Amino acid sequence: MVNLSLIIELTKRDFTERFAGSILGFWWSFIWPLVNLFIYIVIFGQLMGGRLPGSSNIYAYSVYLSAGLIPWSAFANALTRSSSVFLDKRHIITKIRVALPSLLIYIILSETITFIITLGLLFVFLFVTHWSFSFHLILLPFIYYLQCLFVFGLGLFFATLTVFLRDLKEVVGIILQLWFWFTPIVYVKDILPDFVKKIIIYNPAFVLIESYQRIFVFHDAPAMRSVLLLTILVHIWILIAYIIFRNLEKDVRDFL
Amino acid sequence: MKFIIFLIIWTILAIIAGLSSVKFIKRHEKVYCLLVINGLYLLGVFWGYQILYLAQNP
Repeated sequence: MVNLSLIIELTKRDFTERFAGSILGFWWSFIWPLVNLFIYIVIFGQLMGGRLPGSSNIYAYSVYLSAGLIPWSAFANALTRSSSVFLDKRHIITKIRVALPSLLIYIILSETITFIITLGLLFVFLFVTHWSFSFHLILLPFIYYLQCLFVFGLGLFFATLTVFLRDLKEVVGIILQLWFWFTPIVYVKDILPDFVKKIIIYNPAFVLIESYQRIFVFHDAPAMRSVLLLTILVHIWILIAYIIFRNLEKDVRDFL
Repeated sequence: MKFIIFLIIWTILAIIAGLSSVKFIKRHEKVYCLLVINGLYLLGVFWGYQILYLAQNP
């Protein structure tokens, strides 16, 4: 069904190829997140003077920003790459019999490694600044796992359709750009008009991002009702995406 | 503490259920079965957290 050794090999190759020929090699996977964190913390949080309403801590906005942007980057990168993975890896698909969903898993796995590295660096920063942690951190891996499942469902859907309609790859980029600004990541939910606040709870990315922000910044548990509902919806969506994929799998292979 | 014990037992049960479905169920039905197990596992984790931790530490 899913080729585990192929997934591991592709994930390894994804990292080695990304930094192939460079002097620093694997260290670049630490340098990039470090630069991103520097931008979130120093540029946005300190130089631009971003402050979190209701908090006197000078690092509160930086942490709020990092808690939203780090998972969003993992989400957006994984979805962008997943949406064209069948086209990008057609040289593998046409040569060996491979379970196509495996290709999505390797992308999610690769983005997870980057996510863990960046999150690790954020934890270092939080320790250095004596930031307090709550027991709710125990839910962090499960929220991220739910996020990965959501990406898998969306990715499988778009990857299948992109084979027939290549413009979809660009459409995904535009959707993600709009989605980013419709999700309170760089701004707080409170500044939104009342009618937007009412509809924003139906934004799945909001449920996920808000969970990270509540855990890291507000030391609060995620909104459990929304998370439970999202868990059900994500699994229904994966089921729909898988049924569509199964019906079109033969055509996908022929088209490639 | 109660939640952590629940989490360990729940995870072990989910792994056993997952491995059993991989071994005994046919190709496509296996995917549906794993999806259901996965969904129930995550729902159980979040629900368990709500009942075993949040209800006692409001």
